[in-house]
Amino acid sequence: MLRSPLLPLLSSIALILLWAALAYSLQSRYLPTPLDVASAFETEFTSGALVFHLGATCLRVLGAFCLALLFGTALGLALGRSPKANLIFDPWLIFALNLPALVVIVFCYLWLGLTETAAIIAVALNKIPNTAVTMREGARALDPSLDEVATIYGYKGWNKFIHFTLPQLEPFLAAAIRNGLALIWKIVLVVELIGRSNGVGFQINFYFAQFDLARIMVYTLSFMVIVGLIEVFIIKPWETRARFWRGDA
Amino acid sequence: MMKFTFASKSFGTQTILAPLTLKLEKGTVTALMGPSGSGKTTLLKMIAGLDQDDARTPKNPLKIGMMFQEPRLLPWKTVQENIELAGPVRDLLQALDLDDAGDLYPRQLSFGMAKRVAFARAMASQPELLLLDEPFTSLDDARVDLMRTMISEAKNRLNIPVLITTHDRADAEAIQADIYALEGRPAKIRKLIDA
Repeated sequence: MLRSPLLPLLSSIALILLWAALAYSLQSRYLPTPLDVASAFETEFTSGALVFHLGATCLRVLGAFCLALLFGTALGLALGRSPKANLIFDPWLIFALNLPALVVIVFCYLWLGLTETAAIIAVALNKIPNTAVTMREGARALDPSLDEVATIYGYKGWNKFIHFTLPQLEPFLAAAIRNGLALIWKIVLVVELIGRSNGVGFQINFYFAQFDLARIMVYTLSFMVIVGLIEVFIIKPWETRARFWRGDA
Repeated sequence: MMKFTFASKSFGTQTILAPLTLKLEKGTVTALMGPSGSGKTTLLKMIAGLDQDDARTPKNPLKIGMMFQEPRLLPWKTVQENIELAGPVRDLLQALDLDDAGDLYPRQLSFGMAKRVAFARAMASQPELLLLDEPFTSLDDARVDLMRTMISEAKNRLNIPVLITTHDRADAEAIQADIYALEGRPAKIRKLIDA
């Protein structure tokens, strides 16, 4: 029973029932019932607003995610492979890690204006240090004895990366992607709340001003469902395939 | 004939190999013997271009197949894919008694099997020189015989020099190797037996 795939489903249903029980017993405008949220969902969906704003946020998440993964991975690998570079740039990384997300967002908007580019760069800059730290550990864990095998059989550059390096990095990459997605979508909402005129963050701010908690929940839950679907249908299958050779998938 | 000349080789302040010259004939097996730490593996790595002597002698341009002391298979590739990294598999699986192992992953192999796969990979590269670091270690008697046969076949079929390191003189004699010893500190090379 403990391993049953039904358990997470039952647990989710229990959470919804708990919410419903609380909402119906309190009868407060500060905690809408599941039916209120469902009704708001229908209105937002049929008007097309939900899809439009979700789409805008997803595009920002995708853009920032790709940038953060690309630059964070490159930086992490460079620092993990070169102790000298790590010694020089480690303080920079610690500084970047401790920089509040809000400060980075404000500076990006001030320097680049209230633009789409500024929004995406602000989110990516917030995530790059975390990705770099994870990938630096991955680079440190690379097996040097396999480097010798690569050299003997003439594997260099991209070919070596694909056959020898990437498979060793996959567990770290999976961790960076999972944590990245969780962090990025939260920061994207802040970026939208401060400086964009569309997206889930903008809508949450808009309905906050109107005290419309049902619609705030519609946008929040919809986006959480999308992130969950990405986890279930993209990240987990990829991880399973990547770990197949370990025999622990 | 292939001739390798190296300057001394040091690790930190300790010189482990004296300057040396090693000549290898095509179609022969040469065995390097010596105690642990005498520099056998280091010499093999210098020949393979994985390490350099103190004079930074440039790597030779030969195509080399090398089997390391540990199999060093890529755990995310099957046996077949591991061998294909170096070149076409051809009849190597059969020849090394690995017919049914092509689709297995390294974690599913015994150490002896993994070692044979590593040998197959070294052979698949169709090398001009075959380097085998302790090829008989951790093999049972039957597999030692198989490995001896394979080394002899490799030498004859490809008509290339084969250089092995071993602790066991009986193994070197069984494959009719020219036997060299690395002796002293820093180690000097001395020919013991002509095959």
